[in-house]
Amino acid sequence: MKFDPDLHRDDSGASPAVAMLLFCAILGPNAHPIDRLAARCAASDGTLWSRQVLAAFVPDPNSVDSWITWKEMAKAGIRESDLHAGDPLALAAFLQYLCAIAGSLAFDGTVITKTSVVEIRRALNVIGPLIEARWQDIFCRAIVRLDQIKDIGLTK
Amino acid sequence: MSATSDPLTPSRSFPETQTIWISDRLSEGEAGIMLANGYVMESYVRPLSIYCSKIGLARSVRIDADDLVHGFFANRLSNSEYLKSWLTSGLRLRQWLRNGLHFYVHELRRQNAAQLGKLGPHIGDQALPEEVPSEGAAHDHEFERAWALAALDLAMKETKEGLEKRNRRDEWEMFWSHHVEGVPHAIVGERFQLSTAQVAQRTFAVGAQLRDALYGILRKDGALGSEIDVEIRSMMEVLHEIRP
Repeated sequence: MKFDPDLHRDDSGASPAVAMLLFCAILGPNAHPIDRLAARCAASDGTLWSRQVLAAFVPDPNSVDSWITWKEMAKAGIRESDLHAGDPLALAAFLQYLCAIAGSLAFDGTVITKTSVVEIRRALNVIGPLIEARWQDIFCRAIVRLDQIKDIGLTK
Repeated sequence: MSATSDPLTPSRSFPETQTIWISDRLSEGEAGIMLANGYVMESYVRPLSIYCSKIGLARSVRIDADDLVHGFFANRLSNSEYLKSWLTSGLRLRQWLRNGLHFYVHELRRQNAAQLGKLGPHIGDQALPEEVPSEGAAHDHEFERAWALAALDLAMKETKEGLEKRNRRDEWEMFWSHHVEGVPHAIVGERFQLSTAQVAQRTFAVGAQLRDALYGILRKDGALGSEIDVEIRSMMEVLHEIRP
């Protein structure tokens, strides 16, 4: 185990990921779940982890209602206290939850959460680049849709 | 740096003197100035050097990035008024130094151009590449990213040294195993023959010491106590833009 990394000298991308984990440890319960999820996704096995988490989401929903069902299933796995403690299962459920929101947005622009648009946008921006290409594309389309939304009354 | 006396009950507050640490050193005469200069060089050489490399600043004056930054420090910090000027600038120290580095490079370019000009007409105009402007979000991002990693590196070093002095190096390993490698407290406890609660307590204490160390570094950079959590979130923001 490497307990003394040089955060600058590792160009593999692992060092910023380690830094993210350390920042989360420093912030403790005050670390935002998005930051904790980003740290998990950016860890050395993060891509594999997120792929496995999202592989559970098959077949792909083809209606907004099925995205909502997905979201509710994911939400059931999120316990707030576990999420703030960085529990891997809670983080996995949070990633699925976020993907359901992104999927619905990308599908037809429907916002299926009461979370603020600013917060959703930040989550999509932060997590999008850290997950596999297929989901990156969905997140990008979701951001475009989010930018087009003028009437938040679409929220379900 | 930390005001903590018992590592298991870390303090969340800082003595006010930390906000003016450099100011205090500068008022202590030659020895204090040397301490302040030493701290500035140790803390900022790497982010500035990485910044120079990434944006091509060192290349613009055909100097190795490390040499350029060391030259900058030697030139500016030899003036005892340099850091005093920062105290009244209203800038974070890192921003002050980055701006100063750009001025220094500008001076070097003028010197180089003047020397080359003596060799013949037009040579001075053609010999040096384009000047690197200090503006631009991408440049800001590179610097802030390097600074975030450097500050965290320094905080880690300080925390580990503090633990080693108290023969508690294994607590750093517990902290690392749990927070970075994701090993549950119970498994870490088996390795160190401690209960889950004992490991949780120790990793919490180390996390608090790391936080205290980082807070101290940010305070020396000029952040107010009330701004530190925002500062840490900003550091996380610049690190988010990574590709594993």
